[in-house]
Formats: sequence, structure tokens, C-alpha cells
Amino acid sequence: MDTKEKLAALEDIMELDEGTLRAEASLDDIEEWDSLSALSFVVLLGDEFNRKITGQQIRAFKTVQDLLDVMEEV
Amino acid sequence: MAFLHFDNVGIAALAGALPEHVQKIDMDPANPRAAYIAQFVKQTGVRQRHISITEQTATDMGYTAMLKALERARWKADSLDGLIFLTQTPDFNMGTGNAFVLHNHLGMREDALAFDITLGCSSFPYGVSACAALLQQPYIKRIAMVTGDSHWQQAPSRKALLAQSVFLHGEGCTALLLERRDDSPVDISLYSDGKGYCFLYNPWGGIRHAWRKVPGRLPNGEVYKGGGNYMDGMEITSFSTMRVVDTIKDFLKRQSRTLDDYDGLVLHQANKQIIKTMARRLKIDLSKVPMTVEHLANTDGASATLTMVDAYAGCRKDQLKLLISAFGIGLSWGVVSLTIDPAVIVPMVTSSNRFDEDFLKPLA
Repeated sequence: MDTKEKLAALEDIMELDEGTLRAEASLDDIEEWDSLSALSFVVLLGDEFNRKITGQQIRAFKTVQDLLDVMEEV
Repeated sequence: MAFLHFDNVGIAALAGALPEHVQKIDMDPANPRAAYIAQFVKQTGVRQRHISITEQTATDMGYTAMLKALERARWKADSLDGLIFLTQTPDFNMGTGNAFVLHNHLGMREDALAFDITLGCSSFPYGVSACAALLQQPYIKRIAMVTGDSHWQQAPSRKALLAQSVFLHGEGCTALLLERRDDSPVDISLYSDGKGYCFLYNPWGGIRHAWRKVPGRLPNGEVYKGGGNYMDGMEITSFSTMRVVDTIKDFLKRQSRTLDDYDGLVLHQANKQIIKTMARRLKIDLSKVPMTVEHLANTDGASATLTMVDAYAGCRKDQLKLLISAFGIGLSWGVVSLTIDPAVIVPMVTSSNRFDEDFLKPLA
């Protein structure tokens, strides 16, 4: 997945319009980033990247870039 | 390692009973929480549930299921050598388990064993392993496993219950009759993770905080100040979609089998997102993974057996080979491989029956 595809996957999770999510955006400012979309993110990481993540790690994320950074196979 | 193998455990009957009342999730776009509810329904899959509005307990529903199961097996209740009741919501107190109340209602023998197991969503593999182990004893030939929980009592009144617009859990109870039978293999693996108890529990539910009900901070940073069960959804989602899936893969590898060897994969109905993700990670077609979470909601320990009843009652196959996995609070989970003749599965029944018989009589 390249960055564009990753952003599209995140937009899908948060049910945002295509092309509206920016990497530098602060998660606090995104109303659609809530506990339900965080759950979808956990699933996406496991599913696409075979990667486990803890709730604590997710809560430490500040920006969309932080999400993009963990969207890599380990 | 809790890897169990039995050669001689057959299923004589399986029946499921639901409370009659169906409650639907409020999808009215005018609801102030409509956006949240729409996303909740999309992710959990839950659209409705069966919930008792006649104050039925798991024992009441278990009794209905037991009668149906006994009828299908053509067994009399006094031929049972034991009854195990799996519930987190006993009629009375933990020592007076539901197994005794049901033992009384059914008129079982005094030399039959009866006890409760207080597990949650992982009930199925644990219940089957306890029953199967007991069936190895020469004097224990027939045993009943009853599983179910109730939720109506969490609402302060019937009015408050009926006003709930969104919910994850539903009600239902199953009765599984097991007997010693040659050439009937059952394989089970059981797992526990005590470190994870903090991800899904009721901090003030037992006695540990009886004298210290002061708000505190939970591992996810949330402040707990009462209000029943606490769940860290992210940890639970990650646990079920990653670790439980790894366990199922490991189980298949040890048995030198693949999912192609099974007619179906029955998963605890935690929520739709979890079930679909598990299926995808196991590379099994969703047509082989029955789903009841949409119309029955998450029915706790009974969800695996209720799903078997829902999906396979009336199925025309001679024998069904099923892989079943249930997981949840504890953290506790397991996998079971078994064969069932669908003819022993009674179609789902509904009931509003509630026992009035009680030793606490109203004052005149």
C-alpha cells in the first residue's frame, strides 16, 4: 500500500469523503476518529498488515501520520 | 497444555429457546444519536435482539430448551446423570447455582451431579470439556449442558428496558445433551490469559471493591465510577481477531486438518466486524460461517450453540463436521472439533414462560 492507498483506507474507516484526509491533520480535530473507527483501525492493521496493536498505542497517536506510520508489515 | 481428546462423546440433542419479545435497534434518522447508531449497526451487525419482558431468567429459558432437547433425544429427565449450567447471571446467588433450580424443575435424580460454571462467552469449549471428562466415568452415561444469560435485569424497569435504542447483547439459552457413544471423537483446546482480565470485567461487580467503591483509572486511561461491565474494545477486538485466529490455525495444524475438512466454522457471535475479520484471516468463505449476531445480537456463552441451532436445525446432511470457537471475558477461549447429526437439533423455540414457583412467597 502506498500513502495514497493508506489514506483512502483510513477515509473508508472514518467514512470521510475521498481525498479529504491529510497526513498532518491532528486526530483530535477529526470528529469521525472515534472509538468505533479506532476498532476498525485495529482490524485493518491485523487484516492487511498482520500487525497487532494495543489500545494504549492507539491512544498515544496524535496525527494521521502516526496512523500511516504503523500501517506497515512487521 | 489443555489439549483434550475424547473418542466417545456423542450429541443426543441440541435445543435453543429465546424470549418471545423482539426489540429492534432504533434506526430513526431523527434520533439525536442517529449517526452513532448507524455506525454501530454497520460495525456490530446487531439490528435486533430477543429480550425478556416477563422477567425470565436463564433457568426459565433453559427449562424450555431442556424439555425440547429431552423430547428429541427421547430421554427422561430422571435418566440424566448430571447437569452443568453455564451462566454469569444466576437466579439467586452463586452457591445456589441455576443447575440446582433446574435439577428441581426437571425432577432429576438425587444421585445426579449438578453445578454451575460461571464463564462468559467462552462457555462452550469449557462446558463440553467438563461434560466429556465426566462421561469417561462408568456410572455417568448421560449429561446435560445448559448455557445462557439474561440482560433485562440491567435496566431499572421494564419501561427503561423498552426505551433502550441501542444494545449489543441479546438473550437466549441452549440445552445440549451428551452421552457416551463409541466412535464419536471430540477434540478441544482451551486457553486462558489472566493478564487480560482487566480488558473486560466489572470492577465493582464482586466483593473486591465492596468497601471501596471509589472511582479509579483503568489501563486505557478511562475513569471508572461504576456502571457495570467495562470493556476495552480495542484490546478485545485485537485479541479475538489475532490471538484467537492464531489458536484456531494452530488447532488445525495439530490435527493435520484444514477448514476444508469442516462443513462449518461456528464462531462466538461477538460482533459482525470480529466474525468477518476472523473468517477473512482464516481464509474461509463466509457461507460456511453462520451468523446470528444480526437478529439475536451477542448472546454471550450461548451464542455458539444458538448459532448451531439457527443454522443447522433442519439441515439435510447426515453428519455435520463443525469447528467451533468461543472467546471472551477472562480472557478465556477455546476450540472444539465435533460431529453432529443435524436431526438431533430442534428448531429454535420462543417462550415467555417464567416459573412462579419460588420459596419466597408474597405476604398475604
